[in-house]
Amino acid sequence: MVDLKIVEEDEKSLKVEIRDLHLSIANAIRRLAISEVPTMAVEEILIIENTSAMPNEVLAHRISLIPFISDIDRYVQPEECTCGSKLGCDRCVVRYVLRAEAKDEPITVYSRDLIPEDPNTIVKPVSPNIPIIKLAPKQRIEMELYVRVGTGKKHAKWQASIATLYDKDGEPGKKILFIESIGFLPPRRILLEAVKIFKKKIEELKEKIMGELGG
Amino acid sequence: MELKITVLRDEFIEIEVLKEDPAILDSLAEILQNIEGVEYAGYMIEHPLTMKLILRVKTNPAKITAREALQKALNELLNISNVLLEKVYQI
Ligand SMILES: [Zn+2]
Repeated sequence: MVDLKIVEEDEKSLKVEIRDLHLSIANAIRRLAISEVPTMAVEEILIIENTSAMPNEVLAHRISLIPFISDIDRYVQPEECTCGSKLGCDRCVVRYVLRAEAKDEPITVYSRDLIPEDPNTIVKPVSPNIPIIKLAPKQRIEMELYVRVGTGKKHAKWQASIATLYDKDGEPGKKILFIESIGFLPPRRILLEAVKIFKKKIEELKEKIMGELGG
Repeated sequence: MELKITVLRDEFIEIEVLKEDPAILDSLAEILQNIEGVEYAGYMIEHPLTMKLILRVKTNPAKITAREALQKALNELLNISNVLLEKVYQI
């Protein structure tokens, strides 16, 4: 029966040795680790003011690419939330504001300048040092950001990890699954979520096929 | 996942699946291929833009019907998923 062993691990990546598991299943886990493990990023931006040289949509796109440390135990994808509200509730949205202004000297705005509405939230940019925009004197930006849960298949900004699967050198039957986290979640959590999603999908597949077959 | 059985005979079943990752059907196909009496099991992506997936199972009905093979494969696949999840919790 299937056996898993961690052969290498650090805070960003994980190498798991897999034995006695069908190649197709190991590959499904790999694909789910890339495209279906939920993570959090800015999905919507309300621009109140932007007198910078960067157009609204370019600025919004840049901000949306910042990975946020993701609390997927508390937050759910908006489509799965019970609130049904477009604005969202405390289970499907984390609000941030970004206000910056250059006085007499040019400034660079970084991810650390994003201010959460709830100062105690653990959902925050993975690094404080991601540059967002440069502002020349007298330029100003002000916006509200809505951080939501999503998946890589919806948009690549939510892609949880890079994952590869290969044969172990000189040891037939053994495979290595390598998962490198983008930073949203620890690599072990990504593996766990991918397997949970796989199981859920198999349950759904079985239920639907049995239902159609009638019995 | 949206699923529809389009052909249902003793020795042959065809299933159309929408809005699902093809790797899920690939797993089911590989399990099916290892079941005694299954002559063919595979899936195709009809078109990458629609991502309509078609799974086909053909069996020797003297040994096993396509329905029985599917049931058996789904049970086995679910068992493997359960064991896999347990192992991931342990590591
Ligand atoms: Zn909600």
